[in-house]
Amino acid sequence: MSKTKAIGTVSATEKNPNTCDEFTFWLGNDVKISPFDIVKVENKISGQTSTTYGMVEEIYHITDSPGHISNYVSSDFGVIGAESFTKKLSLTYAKASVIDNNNENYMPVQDGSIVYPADAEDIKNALGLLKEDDKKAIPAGLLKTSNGVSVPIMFNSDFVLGPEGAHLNISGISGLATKTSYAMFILKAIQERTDDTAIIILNVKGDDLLRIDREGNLSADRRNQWKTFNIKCEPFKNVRYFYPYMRMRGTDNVCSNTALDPSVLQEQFAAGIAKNYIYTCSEDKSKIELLMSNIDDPNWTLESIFNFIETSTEFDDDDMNWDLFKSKVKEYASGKKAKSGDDKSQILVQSWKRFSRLIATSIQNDIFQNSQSGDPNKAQVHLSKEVSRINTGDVFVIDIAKLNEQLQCMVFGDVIKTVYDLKHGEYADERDAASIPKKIVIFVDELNKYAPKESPKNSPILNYLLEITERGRSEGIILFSAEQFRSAVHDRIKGNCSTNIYGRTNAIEISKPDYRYIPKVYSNMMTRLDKGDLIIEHPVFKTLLKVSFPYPPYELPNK
Amino acid sequence: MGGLLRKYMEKKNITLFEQNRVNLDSYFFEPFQEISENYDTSKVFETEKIGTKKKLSLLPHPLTNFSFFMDGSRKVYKIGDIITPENRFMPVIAGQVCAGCCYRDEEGQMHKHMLEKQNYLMLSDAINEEDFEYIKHGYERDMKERLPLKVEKYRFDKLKDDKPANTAIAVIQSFMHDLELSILDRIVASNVLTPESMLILDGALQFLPSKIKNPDIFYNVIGVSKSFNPNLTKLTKNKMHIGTLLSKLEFAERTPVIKMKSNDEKLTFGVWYVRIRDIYKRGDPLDGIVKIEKLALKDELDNDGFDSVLIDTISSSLIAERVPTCYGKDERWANHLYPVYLTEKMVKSSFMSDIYFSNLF
Repeated sequence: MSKTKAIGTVSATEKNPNTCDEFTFWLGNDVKISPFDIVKVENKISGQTSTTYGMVEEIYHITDSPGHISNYVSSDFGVIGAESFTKKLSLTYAKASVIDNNNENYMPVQDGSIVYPADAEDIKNALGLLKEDDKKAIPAGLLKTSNGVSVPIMFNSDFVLGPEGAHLNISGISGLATKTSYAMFILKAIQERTDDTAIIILNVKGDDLLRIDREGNLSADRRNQWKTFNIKCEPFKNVRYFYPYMRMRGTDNVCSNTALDPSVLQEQFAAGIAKNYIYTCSEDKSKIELLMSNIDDPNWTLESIFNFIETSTEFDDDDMNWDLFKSKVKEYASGKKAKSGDDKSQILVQSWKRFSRLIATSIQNDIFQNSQSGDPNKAQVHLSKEVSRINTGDVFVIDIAKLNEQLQCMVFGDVIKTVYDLKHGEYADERDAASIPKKIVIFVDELNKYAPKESPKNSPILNYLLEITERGRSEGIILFSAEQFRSAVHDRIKGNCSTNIYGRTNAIEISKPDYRYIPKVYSNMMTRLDKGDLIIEHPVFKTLLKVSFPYPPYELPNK
Repeated sequence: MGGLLRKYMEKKNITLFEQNRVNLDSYFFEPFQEISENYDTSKVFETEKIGTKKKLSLLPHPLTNFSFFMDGSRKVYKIGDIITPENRFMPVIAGQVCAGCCYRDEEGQMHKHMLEKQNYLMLSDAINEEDFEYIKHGYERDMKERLPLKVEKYRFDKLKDDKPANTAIAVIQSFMHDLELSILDRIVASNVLTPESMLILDGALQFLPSKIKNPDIFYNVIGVSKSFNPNLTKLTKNKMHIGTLLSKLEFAERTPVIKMKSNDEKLTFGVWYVRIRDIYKRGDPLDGIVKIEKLALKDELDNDGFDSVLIDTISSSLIAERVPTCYGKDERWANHLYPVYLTEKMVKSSFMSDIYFSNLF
C-alpha cells in the first residue's frame, strides 16, 4: 500500500463520524482528485489488517472563516485583491462511500488512517470486475481516474442478457448523451462475444444506424481504444436492413421511405441485404390495434371494435384489402348497418365514427398495400415474417425514422409482438425451435413514445413491453432502450432494467424522483457530463461509475 | 485512575478527596502581563525625536520582516483536594503545557516548526519534603507508560496569593514560559532568525527577565501583546492614562518608543504601540492597537535608544499583517495577528481532550 503516494488522511469528528457506509478524509496540499475516483484505506481491527475501498463522492474546500463577513473583514474591510502575507487556513476534504473491503470487514475506517489512490488492480478487486477475456465479460466502458489509471469496466453478461438480470436503459439529452453510440458499442461487443444472440435495432432518426455494416474512417488512436476491451474494431456483421416501402417517385429508382443516401441504399439492395416492408390487410389486419396504442380509450370502445374485427366473420376474409376494410368500417360509421339491423357489433355508431376517422388518417401511408408485389425492384416483404426468420448472429436494422408516430408505434409493436410470438412457439410450424436464437436483443430509442409514464392502461405496446421486461429475462427477449428523459418512461419498465446508463441531462430532470436515490453530487454531475461520458449502474458493481467508450467502428453519416 | 495517586498519598497518611475533574481555564484570569511599571518617560528611547505619534508608510507586498511565530498555552484542571497530616487542606492541580513555533514560507503557507508538550501534577508544599519526593518518584515512574508527567510543588503564601489553586496555575504558567524559552533557544541556535526573518512571540517579554540567561537570543524577537492595561499612567509625561493617548492614535500610526526596565533592573526594554487596523471608530477605541516590546541589547543600551528606522520597519511590517483576520473566530480579532492566531490554534489543537486528560489521574 505504501508504494503509491498517499493523498490524504482519514478524519473522524464528533459531528462527522465515519460509518460503515462512508468516511471522510482530508487531502494533502496540491492533491487532485475527482468524484468517482476510487481510494483505499488500511482498516485494522483486532490485529487483522484489511483494505477498505471507497469511491469519492463530494469534495469540499473550507477555510477557518465562519462566514462571508469574516472574509470581507479579512480583506481589509472589502478591499478587492487585498494582499496578505499569510494564507488563510484552508483545507480540502472529501467524502467517500465505502464500496468494498477485501476481508469483509465493514467496521468504519479509523481516524488518522492514510488514504491512497487505487490502482487498476485495486479497482478491479473493489468492483468485482470480470477479466477482459472472461466469457461472460461484456465491455461497459473505460473508467479513468484522476491519478491517470484507466480500467476497462466489464458487465457480467448474466446480468445484461439474463438469466440473473436483463435489459438496459440509457437516458440523456440528445446529442450530448451519445446514447445511441453507447448502445451500439454494447451491441457490437455482444455480437462478438456471444454465440447465441440476435439483435434487432430500430432506427428512429435520420440515417444514423443505416450503415453499421460499412467500415468507418477511424484514426489509429480511435482504433486503439477498442483494443483495451479486447474487441475488434470492425463494423457489424450479418446486417440486414428493412425500410418502409414507398411508391417510387422521381428517377432515382428508390422505393424506400428513408433518409439514407440513395447510392448507399442501392448498394444495400444490390447486395441483397435490404428489403422494403409493407402491411397488407390479409396478413396484418390484427396489427391495426397497435396503431392506436397511445390513444386514450377510457370506455374500451376501440378495444371492443378490435375484438369485433378479430372475431367477426364479416372481416374474416383472406382476400380483403385495405380499401375494402375501410369501406366496411365506413358502413358501420355511417349508421347504415345499424339502421338496417345488420349491426351485430353492439357498438355505438359514434365509436365506429371515431375509429373510422382514426384509421382513415393512418392507413394512407404507402406501407399499407392491398397486396404484395412480386417486382424484385420493390423488394416488398412482410416485416413480421422476416423477423420470425431471424438467426443467431443476425443484426436486423428496421428503419422507422420517416414514419409518423402512430406508424412507428405499429412497426415497433409488430416487431416486439413477433419476437414474443417467436419465443412462445407461435412459429413452431415454420421453424425448428432449436434454430431460434436463444437471446434476441431489441434496441429502440425514444422509449418514452412506446411506454410513456402516463400510458393508456390498455395500450397493447405497453402490455408487450411489460411482458418482455418482466418475463423476457428468462425467455431470452432483452430490451435495450433509450430516451431523453428517464422520468417520462413507465415505472415498471424502468424498474425491470437491471442496467441503467445515465448521460448528460438537465437540472429539471435530476430534480425528479427517479434520481432521488442517486447521491446529489453524482446527479449534479449528470448535468455537466462531457460528450461521450456516461454514468453506469449495474447490479454487480457496488456503486455508480463514470465511464467513456470508444468511437463507433462503422460508417457514420456526414452531418 | 485516581487509585494510584491515592495509594501513594495514603502511604504518607495524606487523605486525597477526588471529585469531579474541573477545568480551571475559565476560573483563573490572568492579569495584564505588565508586571513592571519601571518606565522612563523623560525622553524617547529611539534615535528620532518624535512627539506623541508618528505616521508610518504602508509596505508594498511582499515585504515583511516576520517569518516565525511563537505561542504557548496551558490547560489546567483540579483533580481533587488533599488533607495533610498537619490538617492542611490544599488542592491538587494538573496541567497540560504546550509551546510551539510556526514558520511561514514565501508562499504565505504556515508550517509547524517546533512543538513541545509537558504535563504536570501540582502538589502543595505543605506535604513533607521527603514524602513529596517519595510520591513524586513513585507516581512519575508508575505513570510513565500512561502519561509522561512531572510532579511539582507549589507554595501558597496567603499574604501574597489569592487562592492556592491560582498559585499552582501560576507555576504551571511559568513552566510554559520555560518551554517557550527553551524552544527559542534552539531556534536561535539553528541560525534561522535574521532581521528579515524575525520572530513574533505572542504576549509580553517583560515577564521573562528572571528566566532570561542569554538576552542575545532576543536580537530578532519582538513580543506583541493583544491586550494591555489602558490605565497605566507612567508611560506618559503628564500622567495621562495610556488609553487616552492611544484613543487618538490613527491607523498606521505608532507611539514613540519608551524605555522600560525590568523590576530587577537587569534588563531594558523598548515599548511602543501601533494601530494596525482602522476600526476604532466602530467600537472600542483601543481595538486595532497592539503593544510591542523589544529587548534592548548592547547597541541600544550604548546608543541610549533603538534605531527609529528599525522601529518603523517593524511597525510597518506589523501593519502589513492586518490581512487576513480571525474575525468571527476570536473575540480579540482586532488586536490579533493571523499567523499568531494560527500558531495558537496549532498549539491548542495538540492538547489532549479535557475529559481524557483529567481522567488519567
